[in-house]
Amino acid sequence: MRAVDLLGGTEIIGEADCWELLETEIIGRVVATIDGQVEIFPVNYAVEGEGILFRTNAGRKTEGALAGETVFEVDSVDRQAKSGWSVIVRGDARDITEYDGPTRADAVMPWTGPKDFLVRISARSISGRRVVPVQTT
Amino acid sequence: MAGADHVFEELSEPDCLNLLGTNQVGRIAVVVDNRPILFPVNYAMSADEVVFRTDTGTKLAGAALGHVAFEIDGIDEQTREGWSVIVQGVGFEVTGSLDLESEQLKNLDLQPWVPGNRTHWVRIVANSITGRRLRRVD
Repeated sequence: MRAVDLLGGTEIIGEADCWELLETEIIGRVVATIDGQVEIFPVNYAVEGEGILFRTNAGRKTEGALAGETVFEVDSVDRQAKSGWSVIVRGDARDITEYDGPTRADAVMPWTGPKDFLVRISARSISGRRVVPVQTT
Repeated sequence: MAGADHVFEELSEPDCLNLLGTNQVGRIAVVVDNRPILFPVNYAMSADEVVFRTDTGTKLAGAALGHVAFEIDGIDEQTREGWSVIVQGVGFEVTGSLDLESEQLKNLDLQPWVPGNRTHWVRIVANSITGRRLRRVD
């Protein structure tokens, strides 16, 4: 069944489908508020359970992500078809660099040399929207 | 494999503007009720300004006269190269503005991808435009 948000004209993606979509991409964006200013950081990530793993160096990204609620977004857009989807995860980020239990940390090897911190965003909520091609008349 | 064979380079503002001019979809981040939220939007450029259309929902509430961040990126998963451009600025709604510049903005070819009342036009007046490129070094 398709749920359509008539106001926005977008289709609502169910939670299970959102998690499946997250498995199909490798780059997402961490959104954090730093000194009242909203910042966006692209990161490569992996899904682990109901959470997101990414690596980062010390700095604004880490501070921003670890303070308060973190928003993480992944999307895929087809410019030709003018369609696409976007999934948003909201949750609390924790520095799990010292955690030595099993994780999918190997799945998020850094692209740019060593990163100091391994961060996990534990999802409190996940939601998604899909834009289907518009019939132009 | 990735690792030390990739380097980050800062992009110049002209390079950032060039990338903004050749893409169509970005992500706008706004703060609504102290919570950040991010939405993909299709956009157009008017000189150095990002312009997008929206309905009367959350996006407009946060973007109009609020601080916004706007991001575009391009990633090559095979080579693990990529770039991202971030515009930091303030969103101004120009829907009802009658000045010449606003009228020109509203003549941009910016068709919403989704049905609905995307009748509000918002321009982002930038405080900063920065970008980075992740490049492979052989």
